[in-house]
Amino acid sequence: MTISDNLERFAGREVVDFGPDARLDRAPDAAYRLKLDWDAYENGGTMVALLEQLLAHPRAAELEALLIGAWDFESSVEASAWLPTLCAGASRLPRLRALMLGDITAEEQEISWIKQSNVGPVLPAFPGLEVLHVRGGDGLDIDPLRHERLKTLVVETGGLPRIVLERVASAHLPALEHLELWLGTSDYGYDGTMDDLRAILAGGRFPALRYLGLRDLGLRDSEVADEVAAAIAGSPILDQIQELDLSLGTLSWEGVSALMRDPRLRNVRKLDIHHHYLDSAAVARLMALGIEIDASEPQEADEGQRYCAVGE
Amino acid sequence: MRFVVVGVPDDRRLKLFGEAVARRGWPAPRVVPYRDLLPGRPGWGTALESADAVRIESPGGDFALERELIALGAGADGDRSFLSADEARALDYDHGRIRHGRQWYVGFRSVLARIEAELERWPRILRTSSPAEIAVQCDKAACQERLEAHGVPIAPPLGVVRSHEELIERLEVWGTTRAFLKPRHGSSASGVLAYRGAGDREQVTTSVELVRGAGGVALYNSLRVRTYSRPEDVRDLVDVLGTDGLWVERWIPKASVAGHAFDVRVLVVAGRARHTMLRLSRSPLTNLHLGNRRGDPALLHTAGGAGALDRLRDAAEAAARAFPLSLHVGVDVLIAPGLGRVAVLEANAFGDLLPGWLHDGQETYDAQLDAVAA
Repeated sequence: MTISDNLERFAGREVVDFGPDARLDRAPDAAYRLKLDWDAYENGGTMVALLEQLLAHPRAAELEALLIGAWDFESSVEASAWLPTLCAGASRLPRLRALMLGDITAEEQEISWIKQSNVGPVLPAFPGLEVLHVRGGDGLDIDPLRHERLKTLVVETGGLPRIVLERVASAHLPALEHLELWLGTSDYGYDGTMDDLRAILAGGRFPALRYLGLRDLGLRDSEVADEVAAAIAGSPILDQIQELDLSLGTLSWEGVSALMRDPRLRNVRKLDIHHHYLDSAAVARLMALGIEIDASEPQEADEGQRYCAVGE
Repeated sequence: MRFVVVGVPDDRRLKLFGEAVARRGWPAPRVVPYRDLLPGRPGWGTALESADAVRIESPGGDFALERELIALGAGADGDRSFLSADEARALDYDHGRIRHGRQWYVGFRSVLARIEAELERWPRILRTSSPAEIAVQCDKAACQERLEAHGVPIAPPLGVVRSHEELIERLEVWGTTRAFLKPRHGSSASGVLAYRGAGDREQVTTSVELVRGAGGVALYNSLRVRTYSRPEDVRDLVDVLGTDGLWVERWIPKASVAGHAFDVRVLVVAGRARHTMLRLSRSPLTNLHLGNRRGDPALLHTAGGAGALDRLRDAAEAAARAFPLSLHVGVDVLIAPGLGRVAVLEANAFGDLLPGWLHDGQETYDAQLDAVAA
């Protein structure tokens, strides 16, 4: 899964870049993104300076949704370089409801090269936060993972560190409705186990949870996707999930058939498996369940055809 | 106007050019195969006697010619990695294999010099290509140096490296962790490596397929872009391709539009930027045969960069001015996220193969013939 574009929408709002030309005149209706472009970065610009500019803005208090984009192009600056500035300025952003840390394209910084940190301090700093979206697993932690009002937690990684799975399994997020974790692959830092995942699937911890996404489940030939699907079958959490997202992965019939053996799958309103390795017959059997299913972007194992270089 | 075209017979490029000539009602171009211009071969025959103009096409797509050019490169440059002429002629066809790029170039350059020498005897004949300029454009080090000397914005150059060890040293000196590594004489993304390395972690994204066999490591052009992150794979890729020289430049991130990162191919004809095509990719490599999409330059307007297109075209025209004897130059230009800085990545001698991509209702070849007729 390559992320080629910045987000155009976030938390139900259009995203606008904050900068000399774009003031905060569209807050609170638009989400604002702070990012260093290449020229600014080369000229010594920093995310701290951008944040200070935002925090000093007279209309900052109206801002409800904020995205942090590229802050580095060389994998040399960790998020902890600017996170304290954001947290310390929380009183300047009293209405902030949605926060994205790492709206960064693959060209700017591939997902596994983004230098994250412990982003947990934003939770106590912004007690009104409802949406937290983080991209990048390298160095990532979310401690403490406790928040009374957080409804949406999205963690996109090329390889989710086990510590984050453990934080989620022991989290206090009573209002959480949407939990989305991109597990990724061991090549890029995924070191979780099925036991870690089962602790999350045991349910009970997230009474309000309706959407569960365990996405980006490995490279072809990885068995994680099928194991995850099989573990969801029979797990308590399936009692409460209305939308199950196993997309962007390597799901095959093995995992899907295990999932289908649990009759509660019919109570799920939507199942998303787009980008999968099922053949059309298997997709047809899944469709026969009668629930809403996204089985687009079927993949095929591909050996890669060779070509002759021709002069151009 | 009677054209002579130096090229590979039956090549699609010759056919498309011939169609444009026919549309204009001019006599069919006479093809002189590269193979005839090798030492000891028949040469031009009578072709130049009735010619009004000469065009030089790509030598690609002909293995017998490729082998002869490698043989012709033997003994030159004092390069110990070079094959003898006999060894070169004994090479078997191995579809997509990347090998002997430097020696091929040395052979090709000597054929270009022979063409140049012959054309000097025919001052009345119009040349739409310059053998000397083609030789520069097919050498990325020489090409980027020339562009820089002409004040053209380019990606910051880190020079030529020949091994992984040398690459690591070079990146340290420049304080950067990401670079594009391009075989000095490659084309069509062949052997291009998008490299990242920080701490003990390295990664290469490329269309190269690395095959380990009894005879060692072999590299092939693949249509599938893949990522290598095992240290021995990364080292072997750089070491093997480094034998023929790898041109290294800083990896300036590309802007994105419509869910894809992109760079821009601008065909400059007679000094003016014409056919302009966004090459939209989900990988760091934008070449179209790798499954990437063509994008209309109007996409840039919707991305809010009305002035960006002008700056891209200006950069392409500036690059073409470094090659004043070439009627057409296919310039690849990058624009950084935020649609800020532009940088010229390549100036291609044979960059006009953009069939069906019209500018002012014209194919690339018709635009060139217009310029010739003017």
